[in-house]
Amino acid sequence: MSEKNIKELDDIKQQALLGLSSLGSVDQLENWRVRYLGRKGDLTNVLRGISNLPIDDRKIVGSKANKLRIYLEEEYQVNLSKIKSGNLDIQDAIDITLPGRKVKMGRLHPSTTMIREIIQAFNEMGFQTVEGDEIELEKYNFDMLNIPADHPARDQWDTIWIDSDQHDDLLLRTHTSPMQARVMEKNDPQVRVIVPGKCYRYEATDATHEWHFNQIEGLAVDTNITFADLKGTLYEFVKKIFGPSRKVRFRCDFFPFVEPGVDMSIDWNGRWIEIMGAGMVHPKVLEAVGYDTEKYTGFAFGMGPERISMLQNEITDIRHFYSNDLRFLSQF
Amino acid sequence: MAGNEVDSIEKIGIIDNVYSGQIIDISKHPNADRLSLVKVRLENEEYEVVCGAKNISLNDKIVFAKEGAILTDPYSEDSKRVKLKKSKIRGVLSTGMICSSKELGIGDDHEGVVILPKDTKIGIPISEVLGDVVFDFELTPNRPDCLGILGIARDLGAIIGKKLKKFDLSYNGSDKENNSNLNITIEDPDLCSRYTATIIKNIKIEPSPEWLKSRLIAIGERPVNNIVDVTNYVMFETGQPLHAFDYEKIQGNKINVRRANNGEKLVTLDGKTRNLDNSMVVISDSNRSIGLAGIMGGENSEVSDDTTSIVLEAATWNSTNNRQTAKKLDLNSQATLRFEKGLKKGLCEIGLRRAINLIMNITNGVTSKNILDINTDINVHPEKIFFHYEKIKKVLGFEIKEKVTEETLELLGFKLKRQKEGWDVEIPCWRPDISIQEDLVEEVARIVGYDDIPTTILSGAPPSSKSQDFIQLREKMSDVLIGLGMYESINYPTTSVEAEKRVLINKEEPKYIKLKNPVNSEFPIMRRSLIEGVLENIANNSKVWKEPIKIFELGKVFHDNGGRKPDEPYYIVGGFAGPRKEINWDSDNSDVDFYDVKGVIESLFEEINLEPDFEVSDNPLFVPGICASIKIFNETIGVLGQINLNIVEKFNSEIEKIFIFELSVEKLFDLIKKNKKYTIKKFNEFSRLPSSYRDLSLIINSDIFVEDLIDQISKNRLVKNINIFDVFEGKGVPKNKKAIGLRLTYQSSNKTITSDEINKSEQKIVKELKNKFDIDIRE
Repeated sequence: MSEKNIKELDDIKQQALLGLSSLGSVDQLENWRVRYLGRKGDLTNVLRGISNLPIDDRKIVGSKANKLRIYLEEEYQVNLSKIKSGNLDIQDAIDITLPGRKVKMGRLHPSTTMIREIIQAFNEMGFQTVEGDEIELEKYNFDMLNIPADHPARDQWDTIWIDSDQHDDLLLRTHTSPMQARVMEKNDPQVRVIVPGKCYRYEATDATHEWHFNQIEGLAVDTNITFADLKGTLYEFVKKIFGPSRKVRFRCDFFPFVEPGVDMSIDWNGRWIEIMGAGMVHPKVLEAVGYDTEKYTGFAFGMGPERISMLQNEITDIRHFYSNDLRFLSQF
Repeated sequence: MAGNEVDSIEKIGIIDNVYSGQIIDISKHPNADRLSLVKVRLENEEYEVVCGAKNISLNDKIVFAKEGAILTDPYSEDSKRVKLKKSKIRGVLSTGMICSSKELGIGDDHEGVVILPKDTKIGIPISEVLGDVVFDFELTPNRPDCLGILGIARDLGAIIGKKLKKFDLSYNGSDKENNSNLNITIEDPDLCSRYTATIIKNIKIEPSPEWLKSRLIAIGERPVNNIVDVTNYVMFETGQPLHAFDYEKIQGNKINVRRANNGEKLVTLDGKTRNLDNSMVVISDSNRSIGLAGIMGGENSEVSDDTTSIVLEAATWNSTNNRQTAKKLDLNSQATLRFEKGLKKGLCEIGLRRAINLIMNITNGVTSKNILDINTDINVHPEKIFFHYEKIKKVLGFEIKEKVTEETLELLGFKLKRQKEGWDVEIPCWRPDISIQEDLVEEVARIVGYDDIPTTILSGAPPSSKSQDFIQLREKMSDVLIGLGMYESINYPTTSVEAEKRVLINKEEPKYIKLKNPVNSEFPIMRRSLIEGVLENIANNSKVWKEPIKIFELGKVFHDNGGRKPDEPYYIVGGFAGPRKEINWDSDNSDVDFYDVKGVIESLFEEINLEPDFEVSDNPLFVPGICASIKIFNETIGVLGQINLNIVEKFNSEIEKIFIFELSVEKLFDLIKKNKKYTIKKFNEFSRLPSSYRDLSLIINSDIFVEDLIDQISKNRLVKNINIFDVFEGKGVPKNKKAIGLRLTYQSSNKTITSDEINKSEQKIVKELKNKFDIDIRE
């Protein structure tokens, strides 16, 4: 009698283990558990029948059946945790190479990005951002900056004029420098400002020239401001934008509203590229706004963010900037 | 380094395998009448060549090219270079070539060959005889002295610490000659502060010597004759323009500097008749004008081949007047290029004496010992300035030794005299750009080198920062928009009346802001709206960009306000077209619609802590019914909608459905400032009690706004949130009705809500909706 029962237990064990290996989900495993360990399960039936066995057999069969129950229950737990950790069946794996559901960001215009970077560098040095109008008076754009009418220096700025019945002195500002005069006229020293804005020149557009572009102007006026301060400020700027090891060169240059005048070049792959004009504010400019030239000195500088962006981003044609082609804009 | 930049360097006359040689025999070519056989000797070698030039004679020193020399092909238009080979010309072997200036690349002449001076050594490389290096400088407009070689040389000398060589202004004047026959007067000293001149007689007009011609050619000037060439040469040497009149053609021995008469005509040297007016200055003889002062001479007094005596002029003209006249006549000469920069009156005498020196050297001319010099009292440039010892330190923040300062300025031609607190500095006559101490600081600094100046960090506290709120608001809005997937564009601010009319439909003609000289004559007015530009951007991109098109511009528009300067308010315009999302394997591939754009606006305002209201709006720019105005604090600040198809048609877009929003940043900013307290975020205590939700499906009339339903439901205190999960019209829904699916979330702020309470609330809500909006509950 007991041999028959023992064989039955062996069969149950064999079948249960055989079935176990192909189970892939919690539901399937639950069916398995019910089939062998459930209230009407195969093993439960054997355990229930034990009381009908002769006493000698009871012990043997009971012990073996209980061991099997513990064994199957352990197997159940092991497989349950395997399934839950997802480590089982290939048919549930996903193709991780499919592209994700991106939340696609847009982009700022590369000019805006460069302007913000530059402005931030100067804000950190205590320069305060101010802005001015794009339609400007001749007085501020030229006269107050020591660029008198009919002076050849004006040829440096080919001008687009406004056609108006009442006034013939309105123009599209050719640089952001008129804000030098406007800021000083309104404020007593000390002055430390940075001025971004659009400027316009009457010139043909080609790969390196645009009639419409941005400029960033800086101005600092106080007692005891020197050329060394100008150099120090510009070095600091280059460090912030181009990194601490960038080589810089200063050379004499002429702008009517500064004296001495200077241009700054940076080393770009072994070539000197001019990126900025600057100098000490010309006494005539200080006089024009009523500053005491014995007491105050200052420096000013100006640069083109598009030109710097062209270097940094390796843009070879300035005309891309205002094409507003998404094939261009999406790259920055 | 010191201000003037070398733009390019070109080597000329430096060619291998080309030597100086001498002609030792000339005989006729046996087979060609127009060719000769020429024997040429170099140092120890002799060559026989075939030559076509007519200007050779026995013993002439010439330029000889051996086999292998690379010469300019005189017959090619683009100056192609070719390698010289032995060749048979009409049956005779030619073993080299006697060169013309064109073949050597130093000139344009191919009529004859170059004849070298008699004292030239033979057999030496030609680079040592004719070789030259041309430096092309980019000059700054304040330095007319550098428009002369001397100016450049002086600067260079100062940099390397060498003094300029003595410059020869002497000449042998004749005791028999004096200039007293010629009577010179200046009517208006403001326009001509100094006039110097001399008469030179016994002149034979002929081509200039080779050295003079080749130097003029090297700088791009065409040689004319010995007199004209000298005046040009001296101008390029000293920076002082000169002019030579044919003395015989000056009537009445009279030179008068006067204003032109209105309507007066003068034929200038270029053969053009110039119509003059009273603002211009002419040089006249006793009867007529003979030259346009400081710009160009007159044809009636031009030096010609049979001229034998000349009047040589060097004068100082008013810079502003000179520039205005040149502009009026559209006549830009080398003389104007210099005079308009304001030459000092000391320079004209130097120019005149130098020119006399050269003419006397290269011709048999005879002239007086003394020049004629009409020097008026007008002096626009200071001769002396005081230069304080402390000035350099004050401007540069760096000390330069007084000795270095003195040496540097002296090398540049300044004369310094020590006084108690500084120097008295005499400014040389070629430096009109120097008038204040700062100018001298630059002179010293640029020669010493800007690199030597130390760097310091600005001292003193930075000025207190004022409000940057407006800039911050604009930056914030841009940042949010790019976060929502939009790209920023920047358009030109110009347009045309016709182009603008596509989007701005005006009842009355506005006052346009017109440009006098637009860069592109098709776009002569300033924009009054950003919408046009953004629509152009969308249209252009629709042809090349198949992904979602989402573009915004944040920029200024220009409005005439009746005042002196126009208003320049900022706007933001966004445009949307094409698919809603990038094509992806399970994405929603439908096109963008009104609610995408509205969502962008809602998200944008959420980020600046404002809740906009949208109201039905009627705007001809948009498709009727698909347009809303955007309001905050009950004021309209913008609009959004789908662009009217009639308007889209005018933009040549490949996509028909285009959505636009426009916001006035200025109005928004003003409203935010006015209502500051509402825009600062304040913490709301959130309930920690459980919430639960119920779904409601309603059928309502199509013309009922969902917002009105929501407003009604929100009145119930237990409803914490309402989501609209479905809006449906069509199959299964009666005509003129729509089905709405709402999920209402219930939560109490002070206790756990029971399902009884929710039931009661729901019943109440449904009852109110039925009363107010005649809704049905969908089962």
